[in-house]
Amino acid sequence: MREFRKILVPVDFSESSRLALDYAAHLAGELGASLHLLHVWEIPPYIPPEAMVGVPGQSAQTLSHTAQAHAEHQMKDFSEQVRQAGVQIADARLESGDAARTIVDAADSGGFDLIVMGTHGRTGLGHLLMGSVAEKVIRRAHVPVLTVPSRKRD
Amino acid sequence: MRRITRILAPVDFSECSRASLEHAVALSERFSAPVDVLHVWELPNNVRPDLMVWIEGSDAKQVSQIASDDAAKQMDALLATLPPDARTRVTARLEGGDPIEAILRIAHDEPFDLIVMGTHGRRGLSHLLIGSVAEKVVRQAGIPVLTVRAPVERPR
Repeated sequence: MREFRKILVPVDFSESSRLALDYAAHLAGELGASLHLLHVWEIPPYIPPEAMVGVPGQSAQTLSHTAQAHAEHQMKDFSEQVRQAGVQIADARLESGDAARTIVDAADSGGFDLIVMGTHGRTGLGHLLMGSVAEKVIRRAHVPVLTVPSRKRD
Repeated sequence: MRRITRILAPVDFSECSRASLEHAVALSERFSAPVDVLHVWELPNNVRPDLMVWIEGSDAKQVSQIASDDAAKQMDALLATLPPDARTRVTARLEGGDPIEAILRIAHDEPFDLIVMGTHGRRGLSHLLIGSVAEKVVRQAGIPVLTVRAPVERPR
């Protein structure tokens, strides 16, 4: 069994991923492990990434460029917030693609020992759809996955 | 901040649950948290628990008694593989019934703050069944769940 030295925390900037990160930080503190954030942005499958998008008054950009810039901005805000709350983060990465697959691949290629993630993501309206990324990750990941629910039990 | 103070480790004696128990025990050591190792034995759907069964030359027993005796034996064997100092933090628990129902009920009724379990159960031959217990527990337990896959070679 491998010790948990390097922890991957996939985040979507939701309250749920914030809770998961807090939990991971607690764990990392006790275990002497490092925390690595990953955000995966996806663009709708039916729109080509090179499609031009724009808002009035600004020059048009490709959809993928706009999405990447938006993700960078969100990741910067998010990591600043958590760093200010005293959480030490080794690095924060952005990737694009299918969220579950990208997370599993990143865990493999980055030599991670553990994935910590929230079960209620931003996508999906109701309880039923939420957590589908976490479920896919659990099924496919080669390393242990710790899921943190956002709702306290009653 | 949620701490790890008491760990529930459901096992089905598969290879995968041995791996998850190792993780549970390692975390229990690190956090000085006791671990309840739970096995839930199940009877086939249409078998009455008080059905009497016997083999030639031995006394008849209720089928539920046979199942729970067997589970107790396997539990002893599993815990015997743990290092002696780890065993002091471990409590064995056996229940009969539906595993998902039992795991969720215990996690809900008692002050556990982490569940550690394998993703691939003993009945994991069929692709469809794989992980169904772990998935339902993750979805419904309301507390953090650490899922561990059977030890496999990682693509590097």
